[in-house]
Amino acid sequence: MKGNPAIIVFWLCAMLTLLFAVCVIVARDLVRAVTALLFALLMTAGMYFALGADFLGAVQIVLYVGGVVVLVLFGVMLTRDVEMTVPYLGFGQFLPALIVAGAVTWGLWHLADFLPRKAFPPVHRSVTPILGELFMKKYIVAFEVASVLLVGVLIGAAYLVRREVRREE
Amino acid sequence: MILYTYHIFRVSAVLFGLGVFGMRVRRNAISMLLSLELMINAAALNLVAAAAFTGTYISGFSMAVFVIVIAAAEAAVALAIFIALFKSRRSIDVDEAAEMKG
Repeated sequence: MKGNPAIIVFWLCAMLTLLFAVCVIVARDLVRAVTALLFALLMTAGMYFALGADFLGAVQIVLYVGGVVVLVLFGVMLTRDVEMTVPYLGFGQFLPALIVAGAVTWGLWHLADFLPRKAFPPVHRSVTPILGELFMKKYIVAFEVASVLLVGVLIGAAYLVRREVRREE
Repeated sequence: MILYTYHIFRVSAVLFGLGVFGMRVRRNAISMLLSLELMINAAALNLVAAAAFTGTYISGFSMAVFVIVIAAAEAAVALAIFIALFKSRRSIDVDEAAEMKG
């Protein structure tokens, strides 16, 4: 238990995730915030790997780090104003936000005490083959619905952006 | 070093709280989307943690895959809406887009 490398990797990734999440919140430059989000998501993938969810870590890297972050970066570039820096709000907005976020964190933090405590399992086998079989057999309906949803989202997003262009002509 | 389930739940609680804070304190739509991604990430981490520590962990992992897929779809739609909003009013400040406020 003392020298389990997976646990050390997990704690390292967890601390870095929280650090980069703070960077996302406080960064004034929007591009810097997106870059910090990229690293936060990458460190979350590291946590997934440490927990034995190797397929999930790969999905996280391919879909989030490769897809969503590039998408958000394009969104930032396309909606750029005069400057990309985001102004901070005054203390009047800051204090309620701190109270709400603190209450949510406190509640979730203490909710964890009511859940069953289990120690980290020592070894995992690779779950990817079993997961693939599940997607093709037990969860085939959900899998197909997800793919139809993604096609609908692609068409809908293209339509939303395209229509405004045509109207301006 | 030790690792119990509640450690992971607490990490994800802090991550979720940071997302809530960013959502509340920012008024730029893309900044709010970034905070939303942090919150979804915290939820998926919770799901993975709960799954990894129990015997039937495969089901939890597959649910987390669906969470990630839905989050990606949601980000694509949100960005399309932001770009359409920017084209119609040259700004993505959410306080300025308040015509539908009752």
